[in-house]
Amino acid sequence: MEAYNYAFLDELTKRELRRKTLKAVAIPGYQVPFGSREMPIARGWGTGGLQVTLSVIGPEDTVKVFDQGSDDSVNACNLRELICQMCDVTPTTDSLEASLIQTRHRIPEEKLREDQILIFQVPLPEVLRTVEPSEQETRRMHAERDYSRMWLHLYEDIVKYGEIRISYDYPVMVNGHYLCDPSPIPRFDVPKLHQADNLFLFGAGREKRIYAIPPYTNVTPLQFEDIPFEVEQFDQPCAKCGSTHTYLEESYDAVTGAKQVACSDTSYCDKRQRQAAGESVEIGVIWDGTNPANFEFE
Amino acid sequence: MSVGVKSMERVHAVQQVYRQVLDAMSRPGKIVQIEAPSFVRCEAADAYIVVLGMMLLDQSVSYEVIGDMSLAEQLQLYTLSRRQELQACDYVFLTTTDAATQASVDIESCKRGTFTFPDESATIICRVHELGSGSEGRKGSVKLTMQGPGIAEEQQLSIDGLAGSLVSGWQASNAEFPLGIDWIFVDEMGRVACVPRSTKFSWEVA
Amino acid sequence: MAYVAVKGGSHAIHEAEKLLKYIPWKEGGSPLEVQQIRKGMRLAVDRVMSEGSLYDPDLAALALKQAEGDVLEASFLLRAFRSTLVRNFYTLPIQTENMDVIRRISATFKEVPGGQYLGPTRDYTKRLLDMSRMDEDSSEIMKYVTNYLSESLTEAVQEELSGNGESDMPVFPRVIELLRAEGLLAAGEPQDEEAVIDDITRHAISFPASRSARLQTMARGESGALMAFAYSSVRGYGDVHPTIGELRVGYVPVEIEHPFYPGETMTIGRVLVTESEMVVRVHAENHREAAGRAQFAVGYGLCFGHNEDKAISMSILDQTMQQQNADSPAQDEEFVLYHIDGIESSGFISHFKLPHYVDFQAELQRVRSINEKGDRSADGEREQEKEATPHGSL
Repeated sequence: MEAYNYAFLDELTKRELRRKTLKAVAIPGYQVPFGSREMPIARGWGTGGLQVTLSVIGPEDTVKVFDQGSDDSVNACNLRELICQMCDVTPTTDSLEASLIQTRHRIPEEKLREDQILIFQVPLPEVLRTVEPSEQETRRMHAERDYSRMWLHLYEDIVKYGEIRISYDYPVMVNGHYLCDPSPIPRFDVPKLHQADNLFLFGAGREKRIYAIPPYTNVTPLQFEDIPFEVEQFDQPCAKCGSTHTYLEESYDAVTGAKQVACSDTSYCDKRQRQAAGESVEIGVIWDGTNPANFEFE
Repeated sequence: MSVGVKSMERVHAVQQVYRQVLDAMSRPGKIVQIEAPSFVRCEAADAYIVVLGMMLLDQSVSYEVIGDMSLAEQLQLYTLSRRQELQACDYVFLTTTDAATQASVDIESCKRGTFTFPDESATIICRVHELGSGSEGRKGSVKLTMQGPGIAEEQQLSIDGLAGSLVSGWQASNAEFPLGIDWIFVDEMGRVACVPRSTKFSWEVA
Repeated sequence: MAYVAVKGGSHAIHEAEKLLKYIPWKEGGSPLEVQQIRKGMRLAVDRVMSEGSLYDPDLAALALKQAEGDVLEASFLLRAFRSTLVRNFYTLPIQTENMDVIRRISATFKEVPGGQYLGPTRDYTKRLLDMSRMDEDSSEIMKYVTNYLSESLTEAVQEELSGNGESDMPVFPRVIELLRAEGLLAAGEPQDEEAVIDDITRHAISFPASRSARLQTMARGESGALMAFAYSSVRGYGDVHPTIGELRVGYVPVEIEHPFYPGETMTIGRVLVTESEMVVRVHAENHREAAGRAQFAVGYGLCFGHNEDKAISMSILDQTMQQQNADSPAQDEEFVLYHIDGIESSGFISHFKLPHYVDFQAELQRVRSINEKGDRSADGEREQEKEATPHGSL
């Protein structure tokens, strides 16, 4: 790739991204507008996360790119190829090995360390968009910390449905100040953002916003005193590794049509399967600090 | 293009400095080390300032230098950026450790952003004698005790070469979060520590 | 229990790419030449330059070829390429008064200074599919070109010989200047002399938007989207009644400040542009200009290449967005400007093809949970009703 600068972006673009990212880190949860560039990947397909990664990455990094928890997802493959081509870095599927992880809509099951950065691809950075279509108005709401309409929206859900309807893009309060969209991660992943050891960066390319949640930052999902925040529950273990502590997804076998429930974090699931098969594999602790043993199949 | 150093060396040097500064900004008070690149042709202590400038400055933003004017020239040469007065600029390079000069700087006049756009605020790159983790600290050092995002419980930082009057101006500028100014400290040995506006701190002089 | 880590994502995308190259040619044929596209599909090329926001007809033709005729995809290719280019200079503003006009019309007056010239337009052709063109011969085309030139030359030479002197190029003063001279044009938005022109490719747009940001966004906007919004406003979702003051198509020189000789300029080339100046009635109560007089305002549209629908739509929307009460979509500048970029809209619309199963799983959980609650409370109510209903019947 002789024709392109290291990491594809020109230095002017990298500086713009770097300046804005530093401001984002200084103002946790606040969406910093930035001069988002067109990339060789379509808008809406990860150009924001990609630009953040390319502004941060260096030849010594090891990068993991995964989508919906799977490293093998076609779009993750495409992004990973582009990054490796442009940056001369080593790719990995192992969350423990990666110094940079670019993700679409999931946080890895293994707890990240201080030396790791998680970069989210964000489609819609504005958490208040559900209640207000105008950008000018939502910016005013953040400026005045007027989040009453979101609270009302949640309250109306409880009146109508007995619970809050929001499943992903769950509104969180960051550092007690800004209401923030943690990207379309499931509720299951939201608690991982609170007081983490690692830095979280969020890039929205089409909407042209960067935001950040630094390590050791308070991140609280909106909830009512009498109706606390709940995460997803699964009534079966993973069919492949037996996990009862991970986020699972159901799918239908292409040949038999049978419904199957399995870990969405495929590399974590792989490691557990390999361990169960007798291989010596390093598996990281999960976010509550524990290392759950393998489920014993009957 | 600036001084003709358009090469992988420059690209990688600046990226490495950025990673260190990003880490330091994410963990206020953590001391990181940056390298003085060989292609910056001046003394190491100045080279740290220049490479920080190369990471941040170009025609899209503006800066001001308070202190060493030859350093100001170097910055201009390596970044081709625009000078602008203190109240309007995006990056302030405070390169003198002379207490009187420091005391004369009106920190509170620097851009603090607006409630709608708090990011449109200045960043101060402040050169000091020595940064330390807080327990030691020469007489006259400012010792910060900090809490907030990026800090697990509490973090201490000692800064030798920072005037007390600047610190009170600094606290006043940052009194109304999210308005405020973010600081990047760099000492003569290339150690860097950052204090973003999200950090609450108390301070004393050793 | 054996495991099989499902690998194959990379393989799948590479096979998809191979298929793309195979499908169009599996029954033989020869690839299109870039120059054929440039000439024979010139209006598509113009659209791609306009939406790709890069003036280079050869590259736009190549993009169309690579995208197999998908204009949005081709524009995307051009935009992504543009992103990688170094910016050396900013040009001086182009002066469309210096345009080498190939087409110029006005709907405001029957005759205008300089005259009306239809130029190369389909507007008055009969839209009948010409079957004879299924197999066209390059020799037929060249014969036509030669005959046309010799006929025109003959007429022009005759005129000169007869001393009519009509062969001089006419001058085209702006039609709207006629209205301005009569004091009928509203002053427009106050211009800050010191203001720097926004660059939306470097700074994300913020609202209220500056006029330069609005015009830039529209200049690279998708023709269909612009047209839909403009159409809505003239059909009734808005209060603009436009008349084309002037529509001109032609080549303008592009100049920069001379890099070596201060005070001088240098022409670096010329671009084909379409320019529309739209005259609208101003209603003082809902226009930024509260004049207290009956006046006209001018909406402006300009784009690369020959694309009249786009320039006309731009000029209508330039006016509708300046109206202060955003009653209808075309008057709401945020609504218009956020939704007219074809690369952004198509990117996001097509992103729904990406796997969303993790999020869908989260939705399934909520839906099932809500329904379970609903079922439980319905059961509970039935239980209560049973208890409450007296035994026996009435």
